[in-house]
Amino acid sequence: MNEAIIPLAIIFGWIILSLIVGILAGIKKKFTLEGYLVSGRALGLVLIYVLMTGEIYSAYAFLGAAGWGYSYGMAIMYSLGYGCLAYSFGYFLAGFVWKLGKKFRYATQADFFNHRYNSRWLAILVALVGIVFSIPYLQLQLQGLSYILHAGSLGYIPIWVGIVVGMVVMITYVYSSGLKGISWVNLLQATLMFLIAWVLLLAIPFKEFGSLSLMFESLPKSHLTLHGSMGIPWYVSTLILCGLGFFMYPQMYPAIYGAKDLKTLKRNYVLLPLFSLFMIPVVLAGLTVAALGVKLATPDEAVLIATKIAYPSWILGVVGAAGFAAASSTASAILLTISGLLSKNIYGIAKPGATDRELTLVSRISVILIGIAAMLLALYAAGRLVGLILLAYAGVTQMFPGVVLGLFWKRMNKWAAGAGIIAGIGTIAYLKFFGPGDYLGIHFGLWGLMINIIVVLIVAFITSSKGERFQEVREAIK
Amino acid sequence: MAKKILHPRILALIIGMGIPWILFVVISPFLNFPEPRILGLPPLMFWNTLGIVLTSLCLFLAYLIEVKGGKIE
Repeated sequence: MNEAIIPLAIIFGWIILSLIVGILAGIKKKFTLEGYLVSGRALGLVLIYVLMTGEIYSAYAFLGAAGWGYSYGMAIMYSLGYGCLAYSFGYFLAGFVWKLGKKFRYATQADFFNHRYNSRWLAILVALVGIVFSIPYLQLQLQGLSYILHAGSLGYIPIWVGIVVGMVVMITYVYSSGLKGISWVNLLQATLMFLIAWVLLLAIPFKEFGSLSLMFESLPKSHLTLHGSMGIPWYVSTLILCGLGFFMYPQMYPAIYGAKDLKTLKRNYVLLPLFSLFMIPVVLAGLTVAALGVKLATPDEAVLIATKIAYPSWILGVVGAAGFAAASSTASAILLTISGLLSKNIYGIAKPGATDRELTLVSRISVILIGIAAMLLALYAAGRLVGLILLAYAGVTQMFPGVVLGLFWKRMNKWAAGAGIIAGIGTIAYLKFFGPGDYLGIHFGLWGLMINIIVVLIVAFITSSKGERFQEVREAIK
Repeated sequence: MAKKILHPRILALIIGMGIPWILFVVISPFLNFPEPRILGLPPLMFWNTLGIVLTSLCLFLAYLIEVKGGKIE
């Protein structure tokens, strides 16, 4: 037990600190629905920045990026690229989204569909798609979290304890403090992730090889270029799909609405790419493991193995804390987002007369229920939702025409948006489960988006957009 | 009155979105070689790292243009 005392103390110290900060952020506050879901649209630059970076970079920014670097080498370069593409697109998109949110009091992604297309059914469809693809993602984060805690505590924290403790902590601070709590906790989490990458991980290749050049010399040649099934067509199509699809994730919307003004929001986007530089030390750590010729049964362990090789064992406790940081900052935001969709877009639409107080209460209860559901899924059905996870990114991207054309195209209407989403999701599900996957080497999600857009164009020309609110939206974003 | 060549919103869009997308989607696929090492990195990794910094810079320029053009109050 002795060797594990320091790592365990670090991990539990960090979890308790997160819990205290999260609860304090919302203590003695009576939340309105807007105060709860979008922090009253009052977040300043620091909080909005850490809220978004914490949300965006999950446990798999550590596990997956290093694992891919270890297994495939340069293929992981797509992840350095698409973040930038997403942020540069998001810089412009988020400006419109924020303005509309402020004027028409949106709190979720589905709120936009409900208002712009004047259609409850479309809003419910969008909310359901968001929920269906978010729950497995939430579950996955919980599994990643427990996995890192297990390794970080040198095996002393069993997987199931990690899942239960992680979820209970998140439910507690999300329940008590809403988006405000998440943003304060993420201030801690984003800082820790950043430090771990730049201080601990960056040193690893230098410790093991003396210089980056020497490390790359020792890598197998196949790691130095894109090739095979992860060749140039795959790389370019993945960049495009992920760059456009990124801000279609429903959990990105509350963070955008939460900004206190447009200047703050846009400055945040100017700074977002710089945070993504932290992926570089993570990738280098994974490459180092490959260059050392270590064989891993589970490539996602690469970052942990790299740390084990280069440092004394108690340092793993710090990595365990960072794993909690990375996973909880993402998972808590998803948890709140799903609750918002459930309360505002499903409960609120089913019961139109619901008061603000009632909806706030429904949101909070949803936080607990969704949290417990994700916990049970992670505990008892770990592998069951893999299919949904494979579809998640490509799936949420199918909202793209509905959001973007809805802003700029007069003929765009609810029939076109709805048919496009259904056609797009049908296409990706077919390609992934029955068809050839990345047909012609092009990311299957991009095929879905192309079919989606074609369907949207056809349907938009044969149906009418009467009774929808294009003009109102257009005026608001001028 | 100096003639306006481009509307500030269009100019911001070209710099803030056009340049980063060209850096990654158009140029980076042509750097798929193992050699030479630049600052110890293969060309693609070096370029994408540089691209991250340049993207921030482009968005900063777009921000300045938008603020100056009165697009962000």
